[in-house]
Amino acid sequence: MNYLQSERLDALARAHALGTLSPRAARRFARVVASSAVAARAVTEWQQLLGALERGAPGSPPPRPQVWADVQRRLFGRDLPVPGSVGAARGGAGSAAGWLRWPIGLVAGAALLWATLALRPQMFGMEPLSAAAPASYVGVLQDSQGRALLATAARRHGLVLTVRPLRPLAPAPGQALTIWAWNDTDATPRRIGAWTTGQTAEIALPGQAEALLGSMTHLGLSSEPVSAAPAAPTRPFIAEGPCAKVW
Amino acid sequence: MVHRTDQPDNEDLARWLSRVALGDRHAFEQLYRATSTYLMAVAWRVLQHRDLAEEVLQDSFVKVWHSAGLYDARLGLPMTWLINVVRNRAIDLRRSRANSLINPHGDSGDDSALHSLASPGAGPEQWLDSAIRQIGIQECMGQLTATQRQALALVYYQGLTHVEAAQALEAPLGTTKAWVRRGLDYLKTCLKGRGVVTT
Repeated sequence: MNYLQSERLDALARAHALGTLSPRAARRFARVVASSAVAARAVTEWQQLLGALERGAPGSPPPRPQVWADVQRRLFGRDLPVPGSVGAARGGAGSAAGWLRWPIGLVAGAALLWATLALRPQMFGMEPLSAAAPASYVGVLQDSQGRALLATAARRHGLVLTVRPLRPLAPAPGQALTIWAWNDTDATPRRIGAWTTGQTAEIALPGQAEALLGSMTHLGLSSEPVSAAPAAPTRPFIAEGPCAKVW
Repeated sequence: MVHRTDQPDNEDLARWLSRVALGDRHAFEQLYRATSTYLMAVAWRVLQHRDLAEEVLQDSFVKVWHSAGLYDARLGLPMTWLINVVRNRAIDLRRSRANSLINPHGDSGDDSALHSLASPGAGPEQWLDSAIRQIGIQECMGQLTATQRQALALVYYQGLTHVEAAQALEAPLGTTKAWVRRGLDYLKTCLKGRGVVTT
């Protein structure tokens, strides 16, 4: 059956959004939606149309406080710190710098970061989700002496790149630390984002990490004038490293 | 007390969702604070049961924490995405307990406001009428018969299957399906005509 035939797709999308497909048909069509942008758009259109019916519909009492408490307990457990207090656990990556050697150090660094994301995600302001690390793009950038200088992480479909210096990193006045990415077949670096504090930061991405980093294999860090948006980085890079997919 | 809240700002929601995708608990709490009452009402309209609506809300926010990275801003507004997470979960729960729900008196009985919502004169048809007035498409939707509107309201707000709606309306299944389909087609035409949705 051609699910993407226009009328059939509209009918299926309408029923899917409304919730009237049988469980079996819903599962089958969900697979189509997951693999077809056209089908996904058709469903979203109907969801948006139906969502308009929520406007002006009567409300209900607000959820009792226990609901939020239960959400937190299910996700984070009772013993984890409250929001805003993350960051107490530190130190794993920096202490490993002494044995990092190029190129083994790069691989080991990426593995370390991966493990850190899985076991101590609060280092990046993240929280444990499950036994597996979330699908992310991660990088460990090293200076010319092979010392790990900067860790980066972005959720696969996220809109933010978290950058965390592993050693002191202070941009000169008027300069912005700038992240670049390139791949093995096209070595032209693409500007990903910049920040000026030299501290752990979250850089807003112009699109989803998947679109920006999906084809990239390397990351670089340079210092550029704040007022400029250079098309190419100042060489040599302050640090470089692999851009790894972790999933 | 029954609360009615306006939909939160979608730009804020999109920003919070992107941060939740990174594991930001503060953004997660902001998202919950901004949307939970609104989304609670979505679940309640399907289930008409406060405890179960809260269960759905809890499940939904756990899912949001794990799935926020799947939200694709190119495909729709964040509130639309959130409403569907909650509504789908509510429908699943409703159907899994089909025979014990849709009974406003099955609630814990400690909230008169909930009972007043479920009382005659404040059911799915009235919710649909209220939404239509709020959107400003009364004239356009006025071309639907009362039964067509009733069928649409039952299927959308309470998550009834076509079979259940047909039984509730004491109408043939095929006729009920046609009513719902016609209602949705009108809704689509009216909303697009008013520019309420742009897709």
